[in-house]
Amino acid sequence: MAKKILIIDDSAAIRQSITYILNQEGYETTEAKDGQEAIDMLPTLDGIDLIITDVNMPNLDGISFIRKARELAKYRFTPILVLTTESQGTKMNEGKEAGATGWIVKPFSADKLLGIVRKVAE
Amino acid sequence: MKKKPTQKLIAPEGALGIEAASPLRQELLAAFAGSDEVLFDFSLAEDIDLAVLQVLYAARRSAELGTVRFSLMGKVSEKISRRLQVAGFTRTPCRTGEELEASLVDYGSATK
Amino acid sequence: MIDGFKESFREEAEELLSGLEGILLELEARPGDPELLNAAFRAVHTIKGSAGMFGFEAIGRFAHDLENIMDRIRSGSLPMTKGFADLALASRDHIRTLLAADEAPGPAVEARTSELVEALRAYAAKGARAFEPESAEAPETRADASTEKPGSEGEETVWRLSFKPGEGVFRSGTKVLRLLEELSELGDCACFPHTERIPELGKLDPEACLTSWDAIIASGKGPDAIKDVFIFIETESEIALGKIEEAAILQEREEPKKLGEILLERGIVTRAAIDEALQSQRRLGEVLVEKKLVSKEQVESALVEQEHLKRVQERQVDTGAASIRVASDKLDQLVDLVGELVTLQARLSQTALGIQDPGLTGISEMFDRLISQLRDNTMSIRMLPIGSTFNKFRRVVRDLSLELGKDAELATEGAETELDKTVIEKLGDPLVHIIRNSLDHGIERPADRLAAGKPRSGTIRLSAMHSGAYVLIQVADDGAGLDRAAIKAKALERGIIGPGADLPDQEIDQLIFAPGFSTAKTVTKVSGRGVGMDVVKREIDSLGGTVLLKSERGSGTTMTLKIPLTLAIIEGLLVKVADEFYVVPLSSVDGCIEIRSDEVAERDGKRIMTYRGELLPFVPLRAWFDSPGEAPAISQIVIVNALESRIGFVVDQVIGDYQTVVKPLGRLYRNVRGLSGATILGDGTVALILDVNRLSQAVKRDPAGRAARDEASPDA
Repeated sequence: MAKKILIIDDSAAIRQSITYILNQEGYETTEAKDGQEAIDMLPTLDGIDLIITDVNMPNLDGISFIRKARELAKYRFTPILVLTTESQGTKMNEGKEAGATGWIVKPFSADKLLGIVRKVAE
Repeated sequence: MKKKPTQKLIAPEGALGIEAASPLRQELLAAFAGSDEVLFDFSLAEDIDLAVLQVLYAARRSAELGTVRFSLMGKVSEKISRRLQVAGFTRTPCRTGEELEASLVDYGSATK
Repeated sequence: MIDGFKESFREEAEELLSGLEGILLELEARPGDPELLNAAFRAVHTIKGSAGMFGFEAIGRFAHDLENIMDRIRSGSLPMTKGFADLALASRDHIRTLLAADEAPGPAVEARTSELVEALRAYAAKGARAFEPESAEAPETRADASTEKPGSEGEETVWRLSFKPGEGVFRSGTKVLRLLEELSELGDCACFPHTERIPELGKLDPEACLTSWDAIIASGKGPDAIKDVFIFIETESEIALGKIEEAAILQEREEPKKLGEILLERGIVTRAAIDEALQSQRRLGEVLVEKKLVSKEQVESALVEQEHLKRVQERQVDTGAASIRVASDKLDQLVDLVGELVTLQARLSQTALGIQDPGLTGISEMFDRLISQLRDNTMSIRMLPIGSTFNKFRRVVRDLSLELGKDAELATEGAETELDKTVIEKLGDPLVHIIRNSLDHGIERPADRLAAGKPRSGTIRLSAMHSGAYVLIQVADDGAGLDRAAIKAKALERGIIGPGADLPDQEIDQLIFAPGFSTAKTVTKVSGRGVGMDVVKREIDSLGGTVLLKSERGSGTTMTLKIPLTLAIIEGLLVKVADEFYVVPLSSVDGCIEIRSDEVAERDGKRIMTYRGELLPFVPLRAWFDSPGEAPAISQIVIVNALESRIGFVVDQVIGDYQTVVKPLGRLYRNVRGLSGATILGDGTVALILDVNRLSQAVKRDPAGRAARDEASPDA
């Protein structure tokens, strides 16, 4: 069964490219443009195997999104990856504290992305 | 007057991830309280997480401490068999619960 | 493949840039507006983050500098000036140019880039004392990392890995078995799980990771690749990776021989067949199977044996590993032995003092130093950072505040503070209880907080720090503080205090520690389950610790646990009453004074003395413990700090400092109030360790000192 992945990023370009890479590998994807939209979507989604979220987003940032998502019984243990840039080393820790499973450092290659996705979602 | 020994079969379905661990523990606790033998059937399980495996180990420990028998049975999926082998829980591929029961590392007598 | 999205990025960046322009212009009008600063930062950040992904590395590097400054302006470490607004606008325009220029910017564009970067860096350097050039170099180092030798399969090395995932890793969504699979993808890998921490069902926390592994992996990938497997959980897990140095080379060469030997020993193959098979460069087992000289099962069985030998051998050759695993009961034994040594040393130094032989004194002193080093070392082996338990509390706060409809966060401090392993284990439950109590009774509902002019979300601050031979663990909330009127009313209702009792605030606060006390108006799932703070207090007492409580109505409650670093050895003052030896924990001793026995008798009715200008109660231990015989003409009073008050204990003789090993009390003494343990002196005599806090409380309640013995006896 194909794994389902939710991608949250305010940059459509990033979202689309991640979607593209993941679809190529047979993953099913859903997109949200910020944390708030994602939080609103979560209860309606079914069987999400992984969430990939950006950190800096309008409305609801990635860290707050993770905190909120972890409060929902359905998403208590869902793997969550944080998209971050190296200049934000502290965000990795913040993300982990909030309940993230790991992180992906931007910019990343398709292989890197897939490697990390396999690490946490398979 | 002896009662007829009671059996309880537990056969969870699908990918048994961490979210399945706590409910499974509850189910097993209830089963241990009310039966003479508890059977865990792998047939419907597609995948297994470490958390769930730990629950099975714990159930075995409980069985050793008490009078309830606890056994593994049913066909073990390819995925589960491979995962357990890679992580060192078994030396050889085990495709049935019975085989698993005989080969799981430290499964039998780790309690002091 | 990502190039397909270049256009899409370009459009998006254009949009962001025009937005940024508006924001920067508005910032000129409202320079400090945090909303605007955030928006500007976010725009630059997004452009930077995405640029590199779509091949616009030049933009990525350039925007990095701009982003850095904006981040610092927004956090207040750099000022927002008109000069910067101009610079930022110019930079924005330049990003547009770079965007249009695609991958190959001409020399003119590059010159402009350097010019602006210089200006940006100058601004950053001027604006703040500490300019970190390292941040500007980040893109370069990253480029290095990404060109990390993709095809460079190094020489195969054998690694030994010990991997103990943090107990909380499941809760962050980590799939541990998957990580081991990833590890096995790096090379030839054999994992040995340890499951002995998994308890029976009833005691199992199904969401705690209780399994750990030892693994042997032969891989051409470097140590970083192996460590990278665990990168997401490395902070909360124990991971030790060691190269199996010469042993590895030895094993590599000997492996075929050994397998061959096993097969030979078992009479399965002949020497000639093995020698022939060894000529080929392939694995011996494979060759032999292929030639139908042995069955696959036979080889496999031999391999199991070989692996076993390997394991045994590796345990002996423990060269490379950064850490070793030791059964904790062995450690306990070591601590016991060190304790005996410490005791014996105390006796030696006393004997040496009596003999006054310079040679012996010298040896004794040296011995003393060595033994205290040995003691510290041994104790440090048992020390663990308390932070490992903090995550659990975070979880408690999160789950509970949700359940109670409150909004609270846990802030932690001093996670690196180390404490004896047993102490940490025993602290878990009391701390959970205190934190729950804070959330339940302390932190107000969001609406009430807002009404009181507090931030909507409450904070519970959990901190740990060293203080001498103690660790102070503090749980402070910014909640409503103790409701003293309610506490008093409840205490009255429960018959804990009599009607009309006029208690100072401090003593009212202490009432919450009284057995069976609970102020919750409704019985929530959380507190009010019958177990109250009295249980917490009892548990902390059993650790030899104390609980201090400070509360201010309206602004919060702070509970401080003062816990001894270790349970096993304490420094004490050895005293004598009649023929009995007692040890007073040195950390609570304030001082000693002499007293004539007639003064003790004279003041017997009141039992008050003056000490450093303060009136203190005192109690003759002789009477308290019903010791036989008469007190000497001159007795000593040991003044101790108990909880928040001082008290003196009259003893016959103060013998001196004494390091002692605590042993649990035997059945005989278990019910005697005021004792916390026993110790055996160098000559085999038993000394009892005074529980200063309990003793002082017991004295307060029962100043006559009668019937101090055996609470359980019917005549008590």
